[in-house]
This record gives sequence, structure tokens and C-alpha cells, in this order.
Amino acid sequence: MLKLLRQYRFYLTLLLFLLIPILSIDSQNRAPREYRTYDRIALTITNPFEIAIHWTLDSLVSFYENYVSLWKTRFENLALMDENRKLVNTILNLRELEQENIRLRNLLQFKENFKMDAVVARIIAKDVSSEFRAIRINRGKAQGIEPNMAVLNSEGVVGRVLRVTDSTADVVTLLDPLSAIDAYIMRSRARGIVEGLTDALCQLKFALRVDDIQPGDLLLSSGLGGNFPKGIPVGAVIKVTRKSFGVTQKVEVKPSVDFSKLEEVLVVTHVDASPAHVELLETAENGSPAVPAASSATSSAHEASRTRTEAQ
Amino acid sequence: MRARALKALNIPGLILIALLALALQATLFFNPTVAFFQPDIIIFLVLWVAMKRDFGEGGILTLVFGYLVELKSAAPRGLFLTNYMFIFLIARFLYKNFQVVNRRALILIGIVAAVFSRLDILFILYLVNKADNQWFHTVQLLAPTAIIHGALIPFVFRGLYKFDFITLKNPEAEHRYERDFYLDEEPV
Repeated sequence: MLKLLRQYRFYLTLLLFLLIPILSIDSQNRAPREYRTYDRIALTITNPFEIAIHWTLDSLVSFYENYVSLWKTRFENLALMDENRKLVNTILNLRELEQENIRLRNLLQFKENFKMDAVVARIIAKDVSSEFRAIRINRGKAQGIEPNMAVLNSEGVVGRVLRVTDSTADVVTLLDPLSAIDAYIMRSRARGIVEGLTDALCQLKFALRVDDIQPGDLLLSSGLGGNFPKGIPVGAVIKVTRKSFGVTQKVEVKPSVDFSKLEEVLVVTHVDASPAHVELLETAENGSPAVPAASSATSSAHEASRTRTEAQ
Repeated sequence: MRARALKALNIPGLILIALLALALQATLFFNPTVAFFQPDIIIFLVLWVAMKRDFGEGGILTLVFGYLVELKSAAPRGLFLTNYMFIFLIARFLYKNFQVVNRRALILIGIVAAVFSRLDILFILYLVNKADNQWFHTVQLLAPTAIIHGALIPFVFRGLYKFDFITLKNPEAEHRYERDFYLDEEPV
């Protein structure tokens, strides 16, 4: 028997190898299946290996994925930073536009209050020399601007047009030594000519020594000459020096316009003869905040006036 | 002693490789598009044992591989056992009667085995009345399967050759080991 088995070993093995799989085929495919005992034993033996292999592979895959995602994150971060930079720029632009809008609205209100025709212009350059304090604006002859026209902003007098090209105009500011604007003290009606003195101050010249001028007094444009509307704030008196002799007194004036922050201006092309705003300004001097535009000089004048009253 | 230990590690090592292959197949091919190109590494192992092991050992290992696959698969019982056994027997028959002389022949074996495996599975499913929904899927899978198996078989066989060499299952490795051993023993 053993000899027979040995003789036909190959065929017997082959038969076994064919029978085992074929007999194990389960035609009940959809019937619920249970693990058999030897399945459980095999699973018990193989599961730890499989778990270890899975864990290693999962770790490798997740490490790779994390690495890739970190890599992607870096690019995303760069893109977001770029986007953030653009957004910050946009926000800054929008804020700038908002500020510009406020300024232009003030200018418009100013223009309407003073009943004048004006051209809005933007400052594009300043004087190349530090000795003179002129500015260049982006409106010229083509927009109807001519020499000697008044230049204002919502705070008050800026200067006058010195010369024009087709598209630009040079404006002599109130601070320039070449500037000369006829003005009067709102409280006492004392008159004089405002000329530039330093980068921040003007002086009221030709004010008579007997005129009642006090620090804190508001200076308004007189409207003489027809270039400047009457009653535009020019500045506020900050220092008065009267000598014991002479005809005039020395008056230092702080301009109502903050020239360091000047960006847009109005060039007055036509002036209405009877402005109603002067009454408003005079009311403001009496304590009511009816001035159309906020003016640092006006506010400092109010402060000086209040101090003076308290001192008295 | 060391040689015996190394040799003894060969069969558990192959089973461990099979488990690793199953884990790889279960882990890396979740994406349906990638799954199209999922290789059946067990086929390579079956082909390897058909060519490099004796009939009994190879057949038993094939049954073990098929059993392991069925443990991890929802396929009908006996499907992979039968499939792998057919592949084993045909590959062994061909290997004993024809020479695998070069890489091209090896690639052809990989392609034919993969295609045969798919068709065989379809056939067995047909026998158990489950082929209705499967034939279209099989047709879809044939070309990618053939390509991936043809492309991978040289690399897998090179790896298995090295494994057999390390575990001294390879006769050449065994001879070299013995020669080195005797050289070490030789008096100076």
C-alpha cells in the first residue's frame, strides 16, 4: 500500500490540490457566513502581523500625506499671505478713498456754502526750493484756471494761482513771502494784508497800532479785489506785538489751513457777491458750531478766546 | 545551524510577504482609479512557488496563499483557492515543459497569468451563478491588470530571488554558504 502511495504520490497530491479548492467552493454566496474554527485560528495567528503591517503602512502613508499636505500648506500659506497683502492694500486704498471722499465732501459743502464756482484740483508737487512755499495742482488753463484765482480748501484760504499751463497750475500759498491777501479781524473788523512768514506762520501787515487785535482773533478774507470770496477763514492771531511807537503793530497769524496735510484744493473760478456764510462764521465765534468746515485755526481761536474770557 | 535556521525562515517569510502584500493591497488602493491598476501580488508568489519550489511545497503554499486571501476577502469561499491552484498547476506545467529564458518570457507569463486569473474568476463565478454582474467589470480590468502585472513581475521576482538567496533556499546561495563555511574551517 505504501509502495503504491509512493508510486502515485504525484497524482494523489495533484488530486488533493484540485479537490481541496473545488470542494471548498461555496455556492451559497449570499448566505450569512461565519468564520470556521480554523479560520479563527488562522486569523488569530495572522492578525497581529497584519495589524503591525497596517500600522506601519498607515504611518508611512499618513506621514507622506502629512508631509505633502504640509508642503501644500506652505504654498497655500504663501498664496494667502499674498492675498492678505493685496487685501491690506485694498483696505488701505479704500480707507484712503474714504478719507478723500470726506475731504471732497467738505470741499463740496464749502463750495455750496460760499456760493461760488470752483474746480477741484489735486496737489501734484511742491516747490522745488525750500525758500518758497508754492504748490502745483493738476488743473490748468484747460479747466478754466487763470492766474490770481483764489485757491481754498475746506479749512480756509490756501493761496492764489501764480501761473498756469494747460494742465497744471502753480499756486502761491499763504505761507509764501510773495503771498498777499487782504483780510480782516472778524471781531474788531481791523484790516491788514496777510503775508507769508515761515513754514507755519503768516503775518498780518499794515494793521494799525490802534486796532483792537487780540490773540485768538479770527482773520477772514475781505473779498477785496474780487478774487477771494468774502469771509473765508485765513487764520487766527496767535501773537500781537505793539511797540510804544510807530503806526502799525506786529501780528502773527497761524493759517487755518494745515498745509502739511493738504491734498485737494478748490480753485475759485467765479465768486458770488453776497455770501451767507459770514453770518454763520460770526455765529460760530459766539459759541455755536456752525462753521461749515472744521478748521484747526478756528478751533485754536475758540480756545484762545475762551482763555481770554476766563482771564478777564 | 545558521543555515537551517535561515532555511526554516523561508516559508514563514513567504507567508509574511503574502500578508504584507495583502495589507498593501488593502491600504494603498482605496482610490477607484488607482484600484484599476491594483496588482494581485499573490499571483506573483504563486508563480514563484510554481517555478522555484517542489510540487508538494509549492502546492501547499498556494493553498495557504489562497486561504489567506479568502480570509481577507468577501469573495465566495473557494474562489481564490481554486483560482490560485489552477494558476499554480498551469504555471508549473509550462515551467517544466518550456524554458523561461529571458525577461520577455517572464513578462509574458505575468500578463497571461493575470488575464487567466481574471477570466478564471469569472468562470468560477459563472459556475456558481454569480457572473452576471461581474463580466463587464472583468472586461474593464483586463487591460490594466495585464499591463501592471507584466510591468511588475520582473521586479517582484528579483525581490523574491534575493529573499530566497538570503534564506538559502536558492541552491546557488546554499552552495556559496557551504563553500564559505568550509573555507572558514580550513586550517591556515
